Amino acid sequence: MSFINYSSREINCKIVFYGPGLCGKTTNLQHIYAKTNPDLKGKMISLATETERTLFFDFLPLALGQIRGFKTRFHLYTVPGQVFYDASRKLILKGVDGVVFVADSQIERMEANIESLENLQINLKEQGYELDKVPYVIQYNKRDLPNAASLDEMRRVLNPMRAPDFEACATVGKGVFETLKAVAKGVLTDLKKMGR
Amino acid sequence: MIAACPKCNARYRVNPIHIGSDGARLRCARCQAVFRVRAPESAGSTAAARPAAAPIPEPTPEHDFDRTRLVVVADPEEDSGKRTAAALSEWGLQSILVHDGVEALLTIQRQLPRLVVLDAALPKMYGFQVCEIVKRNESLRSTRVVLIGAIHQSDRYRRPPSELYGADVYLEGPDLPDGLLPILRQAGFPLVESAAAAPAPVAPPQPAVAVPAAPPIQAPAQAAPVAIQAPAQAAPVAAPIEAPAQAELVTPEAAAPAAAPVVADDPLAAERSKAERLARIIVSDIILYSPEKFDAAIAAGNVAEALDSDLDEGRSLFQQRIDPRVRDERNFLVEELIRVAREKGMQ
Repeated sequence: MSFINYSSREINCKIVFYGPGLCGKTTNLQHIYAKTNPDLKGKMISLATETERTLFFDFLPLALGQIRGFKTRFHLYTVPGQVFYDASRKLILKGVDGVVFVADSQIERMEANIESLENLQINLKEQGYELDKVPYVIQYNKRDLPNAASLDEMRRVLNPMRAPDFEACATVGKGVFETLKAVAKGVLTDLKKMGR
Repeated sequence: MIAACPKCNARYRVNPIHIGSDGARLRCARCQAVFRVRAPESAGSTAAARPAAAPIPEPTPEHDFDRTRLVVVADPEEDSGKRTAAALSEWGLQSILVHDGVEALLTIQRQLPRLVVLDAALPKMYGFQVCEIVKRNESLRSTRVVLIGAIHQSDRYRRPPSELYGADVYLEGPDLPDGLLPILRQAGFPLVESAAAAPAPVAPPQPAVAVPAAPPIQAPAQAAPVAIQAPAQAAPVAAPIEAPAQAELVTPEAAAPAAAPVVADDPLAAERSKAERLARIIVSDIILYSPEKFDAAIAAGNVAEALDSDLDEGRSLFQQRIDPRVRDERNFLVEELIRVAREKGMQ
């Protein structure tokens, strides 16, 4: 749930990049961070242990405009993707305003994608959210790999709700900002609805 | 009787009449442990009086299917599955229609069909996973697999699935059922190519989770020592308890144990399938995050020991998620780790 700072007239929103291990969540964030104007972004913080890597940074994209005179500040998080770090994922998901599910297009990782998506639904439900009610987009990452499943197959398996979805190759930045814009748009639309 | 490996808990069906008064030694194919089994008390006297060559049961399909005409159709969609089954029926063939991967695998193991039409994206277990298991199973060597892509797109997979999963033929969904005709002709099926003849397609005899009888037992070619027919490797995915490959009697004095994969009435099949899936995902994650360590362990031939600490977190997740009755059956994580390592060439 977005946090409103009245003194600085800012609305803080939390977007979480979810997905299975090594699907490219961190690569997405690194690309966004690298390509964002330094004046508009905060520090990039990596909360990493030896095996568990979580990334967090916040930034303030002025271009996304204001809502009733309040600037919107987006905090982007990734979760650890490995299946056994569920406790960390639950924690990071608290108070989420928008979710990006980053799927690994390699056919060998399809089962991990499904597990991660089911896990996302369970963890959201525990906090009283439904995936179809939260601003949510899917990114099919690693489209450049030779063992990528077809887009139709990915959609059929991972996106029965027909959420906005994007093909990406996060290592070169393809599809990264399209994904971010779509989820940010969803979050802002929700905020405007709540403001009415 | 059922004999369980004391080390990894793999279970085998052994005919007690083949066990002598001092028992027989079995080697577990899963963990290679050798253990002794003894006949139950009541069977002891029977064993002493048994004829020299015990009759070995023939495969016993539960229904009167004609194997030479039998096709298993695994299609997630009721309508398209029925269309395919109806066409097969028109061509004078028998068919069993199933709608998920677990059901498909069980039906294939029970009925030993001559051909399987397998949709790649089945629920519960993917068609390509079923295909891999079928192709590893010696007793299903003669079963041809037609793998069906769900989407009509030539570039659906960048690598042809037939190359990846060992299917005999690859067909795209919209080409069903007519695309099957040349495949059936090529496979030598006795086709009736007029639309009148033909028995109706039959529903699967039992739901996937409740399998009433043991699967057909493959008669061994020679008397002893006799290999227990089973999948060539421990199945990586949801399946009933299966005897792994190469389990064999190691004492020459023990005659052929008519052993077969154990498929009993099993209310825990779904939970077991869940456990196997979770094991695959955990192991896949561990290998992804520690590829060098995994490769080194393969080279040293000690993946279970080398990655033991990496499995700890996976074990605690298993504790939380899997029913203890299934969890304690066998070491799902280590078995999956070893399976993947063997696929990558570990001796």
